[in-house]
Amino acid sequence: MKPLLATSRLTVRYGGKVAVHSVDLVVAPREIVTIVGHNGAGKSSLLMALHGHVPAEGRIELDGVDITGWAPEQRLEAGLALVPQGHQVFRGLTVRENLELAGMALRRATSADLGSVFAIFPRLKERSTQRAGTLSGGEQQMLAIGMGLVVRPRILLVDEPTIGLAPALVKRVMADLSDARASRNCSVLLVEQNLTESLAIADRVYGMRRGEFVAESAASAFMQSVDMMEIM
Amino acid sequence: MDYLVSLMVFATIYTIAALSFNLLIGHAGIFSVAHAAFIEIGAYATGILTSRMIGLFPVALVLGAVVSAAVGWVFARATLRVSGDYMVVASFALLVIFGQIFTNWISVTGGGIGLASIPRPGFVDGALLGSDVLFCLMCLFIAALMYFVSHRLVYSPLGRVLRALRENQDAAASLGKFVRRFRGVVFAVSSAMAAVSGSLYAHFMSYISPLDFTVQLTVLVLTMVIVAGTGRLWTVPVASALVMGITDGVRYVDLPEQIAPGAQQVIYGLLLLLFAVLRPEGLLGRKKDEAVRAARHWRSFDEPPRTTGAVGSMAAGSLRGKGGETNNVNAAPKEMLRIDGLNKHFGGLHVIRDVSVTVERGKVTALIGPNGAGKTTLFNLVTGAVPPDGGVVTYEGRRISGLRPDQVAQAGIGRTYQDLKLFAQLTCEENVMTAFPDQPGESAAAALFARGRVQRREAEIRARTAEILAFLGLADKRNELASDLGYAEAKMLALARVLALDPQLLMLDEPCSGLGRAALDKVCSVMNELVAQGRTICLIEHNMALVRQVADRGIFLEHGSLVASGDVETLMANEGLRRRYLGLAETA
Amino acid sequence: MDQALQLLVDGLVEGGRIALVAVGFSLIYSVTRTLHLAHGAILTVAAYLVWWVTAKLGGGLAGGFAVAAIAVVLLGVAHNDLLYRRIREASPGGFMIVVASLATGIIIQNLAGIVFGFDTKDVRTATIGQATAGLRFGPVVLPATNLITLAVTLAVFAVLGWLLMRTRTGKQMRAVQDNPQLARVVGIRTPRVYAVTFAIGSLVSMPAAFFIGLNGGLNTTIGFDAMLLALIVVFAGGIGSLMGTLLASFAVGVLQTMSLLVIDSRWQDTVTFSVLLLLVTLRPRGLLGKLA
Repeated sequence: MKPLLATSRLTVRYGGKVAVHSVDLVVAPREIVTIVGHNGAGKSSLLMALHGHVPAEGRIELDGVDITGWAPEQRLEAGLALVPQGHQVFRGLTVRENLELAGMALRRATSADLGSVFAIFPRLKERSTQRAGTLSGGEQQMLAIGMGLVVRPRILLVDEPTIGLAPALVKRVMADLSDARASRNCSVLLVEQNLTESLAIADRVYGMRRGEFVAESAASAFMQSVDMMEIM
Repeated sequence: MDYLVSLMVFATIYTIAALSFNLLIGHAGIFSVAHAAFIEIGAYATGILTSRMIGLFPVALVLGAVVSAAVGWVFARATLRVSGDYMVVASFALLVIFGQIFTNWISVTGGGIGLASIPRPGFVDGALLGSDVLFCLMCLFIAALMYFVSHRLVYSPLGRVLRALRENQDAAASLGKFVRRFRGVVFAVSSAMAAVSGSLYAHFMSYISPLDFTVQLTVLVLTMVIVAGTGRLWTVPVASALVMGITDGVRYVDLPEQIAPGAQQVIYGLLLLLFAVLRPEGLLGRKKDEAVRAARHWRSFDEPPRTTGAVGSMAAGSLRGKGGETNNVNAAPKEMLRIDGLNKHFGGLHVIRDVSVTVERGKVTALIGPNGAGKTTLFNLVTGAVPPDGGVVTYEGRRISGLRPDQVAQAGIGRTYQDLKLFAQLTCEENVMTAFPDQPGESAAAALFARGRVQRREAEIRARTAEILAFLGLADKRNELASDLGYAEAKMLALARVLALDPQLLMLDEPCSGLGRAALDKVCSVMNELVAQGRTICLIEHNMALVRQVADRGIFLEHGSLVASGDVETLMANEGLRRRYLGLAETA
Repeated sequence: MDQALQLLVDGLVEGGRIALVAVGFSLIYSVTRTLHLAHGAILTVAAYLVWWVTAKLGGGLAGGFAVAAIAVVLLGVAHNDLLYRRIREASPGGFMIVVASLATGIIIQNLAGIVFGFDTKDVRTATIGQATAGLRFGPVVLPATNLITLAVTLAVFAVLGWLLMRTRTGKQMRAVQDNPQLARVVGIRTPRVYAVTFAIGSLVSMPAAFFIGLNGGLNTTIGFDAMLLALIVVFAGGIGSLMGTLLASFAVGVLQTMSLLVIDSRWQDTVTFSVLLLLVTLRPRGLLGKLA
């Protein structure tokens, strides 16, 4: 099957430092892939490069199309959405305005798109006129994921969505991501620190250390095949 | 001839003004536009003194400088929590305020009409420096003196601290530097020197008015500083003369009447714009050797420093603990750091919830938990970087919650940061040297007058720095800029820097994350050595295998709450904890 | 008492003038984080253009405002796209933008003097003649020009409020102000938003320069001087808050005029700036500021 997202020798430099070094990754349609690694391994830089926020060398292909030099809004249009770290939302704007703004990327943002997000997250619908800054951490994370989903992406990049969340909410987030794949045909590329939970929903895992991929395996086999000390 | 002499005088006046401005915006990195106000204070203070009350010029000069320094010092203190854009705004306000005061306090300053009949300097009653040439010589002498003072200060431990503060204020504070004092000092010195230039101007022109000291003056001096290159020294007189020559030269070009009034300002406006866009580093371009030049001035660059112990060895005693050799762990109380009911809210979030825990002396305690649990926040609360909303932190029986970070550092607690916060534009050697306490050279007075004492301590610090750098495998990176280091080396430098503080309690935030095998082993052995010397370590880490290897005790934090604490092996063996929080299914 | 009321109303009018300058600057700063110190000089040019078109070209007030509007938008956007963007990329986080905007401000206002003359222009006679129409509320006199100033101020704020809250562009501006990185992530074209912000910010302040010239004569520094006050009003009122800027402007305007009851007029500015400086240093967040 042709990969949905594929990179070839993807490299990210900040000044003289190499944050991501020659990474080859592949995400298939309807697949959930997790990237694990220590803090500062370059996982966030990798996602930022995939979404076009930092200049990168190498090649990125989305469904066979070379998107390497594309601006973020173009990648969004093509179906690549990003949920950055830290449950980021527009705190001074209402929940509805947040979702509208995310949907503005699509030339025709429809109320149906908003409605579908509200269907997944009824709590957000209840609070749709509330300022996003007044939501709890978990609700903000839901909103952030909702903002990623509202554009009906083909692949969703998610950066550490469970930071600071209570265990029950962590499970909820994972379930939502898994559901995104199931009901929306969306692939997910997930960066996560919480191994147990992310391995539970992932199909494949990459291990990243100091900017490089040092391990790759099926999720079920990951724990056995990898020396965790090397990764963390 | 007369014209040349008066050009010289102006060149010296502008040089002094530019030197003092550069000290503030270049070396210390504090961008204030109020400089014209301080020049004005000097001009008026001395002008009033010598014209109304015939006083000796040198006395008036000093008094003017003191008044200006006092105003600068107060302003620095008032704007401590204000930086960047706010500083620009606040300094504009100060400029306006003083401009208005000098314009409207008519009885004292003569108001908009100005202050006239300012006499030429008289040193001995009656003998006046009437001759322009003599006045010019005096100006040259004073300018040379000001240059000498600048030179001394910039290439001193004080200059080093100022540059460190410019690079990363938080890190400097966590290494024991009292930020407020240094800001006050640099502002005072800068303002005093500015006043001197104003005084010279007033006594040369014999007449001043508020219109001489508007924001245009600040911009003109700013142009000189930008052309010279912020943070440089010898280019300042050159740039001052150059800019002055260009803007003054306009007067001698036959311009149509329509253009003439605005010509000067357009000229230096263009000059400033050109440099700001095309050559922001100044005439000479990039100054990546700023630090190296600084090191050179202590004649230290090329010769390896004398060391007291064997280089590279981790001999006990090469890093002596505080309080002499008796780090007798059995005599001192077991509890070193005590946290009681600590609470913190950020916005609406309760990020630290009623945490009570202790850190035992002489042990390695690991603070673990998922991202977002509040571990770094806890560090910040203990070290004073962030004030707690409730609860008490006690260190060695002394309450430290509510103290400033520099006070906590001086008490004996040293911390590193997850994002390192190195002083990027300083060399490795300077990064470590900055951190040492008790540096007489950090006082302006000592840097100027007690050279011998300062140099002795510098030599001592350099030797100890060499040992520390060698201890961490950075000996050959001594003169490299911190920003040029690789990932592992940068982490080592952060560790080296905090060791200079000679702390009894080290709080390390992810010292090992991302390190390769070799570097990991090095850090572990360093930590073991530190413990062997009687120090205590508390570290935040995610690598569980590493934690089991180095730590004796563990503190589990999740969601801002203390979940468990105690012996590491016991904690690790608890299946429930592991499954819930570590994400590890099996014993490694 | 009568005098106090008159001063109060005059203060509100003064506040209106301040508010117009401040709101444009505030908009630009809160969305793009740029200390656009050339704002004042650009307004000076606007005032000169209004005067010139009206008095010298016979194009009428409307024509004058139209030309001025085009000029400020062009100048404002040019600053962002040609100058600031370049500096942001080359040396982010430094003070070079402040340096550059100071420089262009000086160049622009002096060029205006060279082109239009450095003498102080009597805008009032040249544009609206000797019109002395006005309203009277008991003891308080409100000349037509003052009334218009207040009306324009309130209208501008109302339109701006509507723009920010109800239009797509306005929401994008608020989003960029709120979280610039996230804005990029959700596909907002930040460079375009910046340009629009500079255009709108320059446009809304444009009438102020004319009103100020009307009030006290037109010379090359009126824009810069007005901007200095607007600067500290914006920071004292709170960044990111339209209401904060408006309230702070009115408060300052009233402070300026009412202080005449107790002090000599020449100390007005000293008092005002001292109070604001105190406010900014004691409460960096400002009165209604959202950003710490």
